[in-house]
Parts: sequence; C-alpha cells; structure tokens
Amino acid sequence: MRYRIRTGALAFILHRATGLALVLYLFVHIFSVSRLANPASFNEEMALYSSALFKFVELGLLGVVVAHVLNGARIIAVDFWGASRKQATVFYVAVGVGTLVVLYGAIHLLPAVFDGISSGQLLSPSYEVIHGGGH
Amino acid sequence: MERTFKIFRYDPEKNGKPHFQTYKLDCPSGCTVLDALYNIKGELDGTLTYRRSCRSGICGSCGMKINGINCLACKTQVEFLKGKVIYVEPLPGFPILRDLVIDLEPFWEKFEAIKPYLINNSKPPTTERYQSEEDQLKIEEASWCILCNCCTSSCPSFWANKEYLGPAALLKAYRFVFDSRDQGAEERYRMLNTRSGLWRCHTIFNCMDACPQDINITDYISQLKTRIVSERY
Amino acid sequence: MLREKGFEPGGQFIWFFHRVSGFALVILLILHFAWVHFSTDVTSDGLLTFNDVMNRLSSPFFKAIDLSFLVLALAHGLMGVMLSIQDYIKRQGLRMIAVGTVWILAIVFGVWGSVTILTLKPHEPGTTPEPVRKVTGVPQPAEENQALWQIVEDGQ
Repeated sequence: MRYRIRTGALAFILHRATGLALVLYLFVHIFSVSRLANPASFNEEMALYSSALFKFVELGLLGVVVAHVLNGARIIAVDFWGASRKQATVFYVAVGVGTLVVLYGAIHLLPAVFDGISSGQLLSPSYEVIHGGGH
Repeated sequence: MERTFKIFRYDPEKNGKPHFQTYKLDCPSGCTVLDALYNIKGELDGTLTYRRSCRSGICGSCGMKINGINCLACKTQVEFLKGKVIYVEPLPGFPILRDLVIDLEPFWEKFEAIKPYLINNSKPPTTERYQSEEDQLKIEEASWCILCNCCTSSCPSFWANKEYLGPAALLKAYRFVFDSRDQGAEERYRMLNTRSGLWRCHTIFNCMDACPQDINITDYISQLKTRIVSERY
Repeated sequence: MLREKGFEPGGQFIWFFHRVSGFALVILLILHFAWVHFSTDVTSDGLLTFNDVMNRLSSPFFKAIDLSFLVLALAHGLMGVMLSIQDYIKRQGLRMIAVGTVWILAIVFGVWGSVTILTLKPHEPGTTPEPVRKVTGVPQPAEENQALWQIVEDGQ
C-alpha cells in the first residue's frame, strides 16, 4: 500500500510541480517578450494572446501562480512564525483564498473563452488588426 | 468483530518473494494492532516476525506502516482503523530483514552523526549543571522522542536520498543545540549545514503526522534552520 | 560510517534566498501586474498600439521593476530546480550534467531577458521618438502615423 498523502505532502507535491511549471513558463515568457520588440511579431503575438484558448491558458497560469504564492506564504509561516501545528488549517485557508482569486480571474477571462467556444474560433484574435496607414 | 489483516511477509532465508498474507481475526473493542499480531503469531502463524517490547508506547520497537501511515502498533486500536482490510507493512525506506523487521543500521548511523550527547568542555561543577526552567522548556518536548523511527521512515526526502539525516536525527540535534548547557553547536552544524543535512527538509509534515509522541518536529527543524541562517547572515 | 560526499557544506543560502526572494517576487509580481495589465491609461479608448506598449515598457521605472523581477524570478526558479536535483539525482556524473545545464539556462535566459528589457523602445521613424498617439473614437491613421501598428478591439 502506498504511503498515504496528507495535506503536508500534497502541498509539497503541488509546490514542486507548480514551481517547475513556472520555471518553464518563465523561459517561454522571456522568449515571447523578446519577440515583442519587433512590430511584426508584436502584432502576431498580441493576436494570439487575445484568442480564447490563451485566455484559458492565462486562467491556468493564474491558478498555478496563486497556488505557488499562497503555499510559499504557508511555508514562510511555518518557518518563521511557528505555524507548524496549524499547517493543515493554513493550507485550507490558502485553498480558500486561492479559489477566490482564481474565481475573480475566471469572471474576467472565461466570457472570452465561452465566446471562442461558441463561435468555434479558439485561436483567432478577439479584435481586428489594422496595419498602420494601410486603409 | 472479525477483521481482515493483510500482512507483509518476506523471508530471505527461504528464498521467498515479498508478498501479503491474509489473516482473519476476531478483534474485541480496545484491541490494538500489536495485540492482533500477538494473536496471529500465537494462534495462526508462528512464523510471523515483528519487533515489540513494552506494549505501552514507550519503547518505540513496534513502529510499522499500518494502512499507509507509520505508527506504533501498540498505540493503534483496530476498531478505529477504517476500511475492510488492514494493511500492515514494515516501515518504508529501510532494508527489510524479515517480515516486519527492518535494518535500523542507517537510522543509528544518522543519529550518531549529529553527536547525540552533551558536549561541554568546561570543568564539571561539584553538583549538577543547572538550567533555568525557561531553558528546560525549550528542549522539553524535543526530549520526548522514543526513537521509534516512524518519522524518518515516513519522510519523502529520506526515501529519495538515503544520505539525508532525517527528522529523528535533526530533532535530536535541536535538543542539544538549543540546550543551554551544551557547547557543541558548531561541531553539529558541520553535519547539519550540509547537502544531506537540514536543507533536505522541505516541511512535508509526514514526520509530524507519524510521530506517536506528537512532537512538533517540523517546527524544531525550522528553528535550527533559522538559527544557522541568522548566525551566517 | 557515513560517506563524505553527501555531506558537502552548503544549502543554507538557497533556503534563505528562496524565502527572501519569494517575498520580494510577490510584491514585484503585483507591481508588474498592476503596471502591465491594469494600467488602463492607454487602453481606455480601446486602442493598444505597439508604441503604447513600448512607451510603457521602456519607462525607467518599469525597466527597473522588470529587470529585478527577471533576475529574482530566474534565480528563485532555478534554485528550486537545483534543490530538486539535489533531492533526486544521486549519481555524481548525472548531477554534474544537470547542474551545468541549470547554470547554462540561467546565463542564457538571464542575458536574453535583460537585453530584451533594456532594449525595448518605441518605434522611431526619425531620430526623435514618436509620442503616444491617443486616438478617440474610430482610429484614423494619419500620414505621419505610418509606423504605428494599431490593434482595435472588436466593436470599436
């Protein structure tokens, strides 16, 4: 029988997984910001980011960041404020706060995702691109 | 009430493969897992091997993994265990000698490494070395440890890296580093402040969940970390 | 007796840095977010042009925030990777390869990101930078506005 996973171990696994995911995201982010310096790739990229699929990805990113930040706060509380006896409670509070933040993000991001799904255009930009002086 | 036990069996001398053996047993209210193991050994299967001594939760011999959590068999009552089947396994992360008996040599090795004894080079006074009540309270809870190895063998960091000192040794290090009579902190830091020492602890809390003495292990390890860091920076 | 190789000193810096930089990163993240995603001064009219974005990104304040954000985030993240390597990779050769890779990634992405942040600037048709053009209503690309790339939200 596998060792049972309780709050502490669950928090640790989530922290590792979200941390490694954020490192990968950071690499992608550095790459994508470097493409913003050029007007042509700037427009391509902004168009992609405004698409429904990316709104969904952004929501996922928000969730990952919030999970990592809140559990980081929990670890600091354990290390410096002696919260180790209350770590499970702190974990559940963090889950609650995190859910609220992600819900707030979902209110802003999900309408665009639903629009994209209903129109069947998950990757097309949600705005029109006007090339300078071209009209 | 009849309960089903699935007990880990392994006998290297008989060239046997590790497997689970099922025993059905009537367990009255108040019966501990250790009582059940006594009954199995006495009445059903004399070849079952396990460590035990005091039956009252102070010797720390009967640590084992019961239903996926490390605990003392003598402190775990069968009627409070959920599920149809009760799985009994040896403590994870250590070499298995036979059935529920593990080789504790790696555990003692780590324990010795942090010098688990008072180091004080000043001349001994004619009476005791006095300690204020306040100073004693700092290390009292940490002294409750009965060395049952439930914590170290529950630690995922230890499973991943067998060189890691483990919570039991770190707790003992705290007990002496924070002892007002002890002068060996620097010596211990040399063992603690290493890649296989303190910094492999990632506050996973498996040790505290497993500890039969309910010691605040993670907090003490964190205090060691903060002390080392505050002395360096 | 315990083998010596696992007992190389060190580790306290990563532990300490993770906590301090983690705290700093949260503050920087909030600033980064407020500045990039919630500052609506240029997008309130529904227009987001290349120059709008670049003007914002090239302000010294943002560059300072972003550069420290980049350095701290890279260090914090890669130290986390280093910690995982110390946890799970025990074979000396493999560990050296993994640690080397982390260092190379740190240098490559650190330099790449810093260069990007420091060189981001608005498009300049002449020698003087084009000021941000605030367009109200339907955008009418003007003659001198040739270099601007405009993105108009749907329905504007």
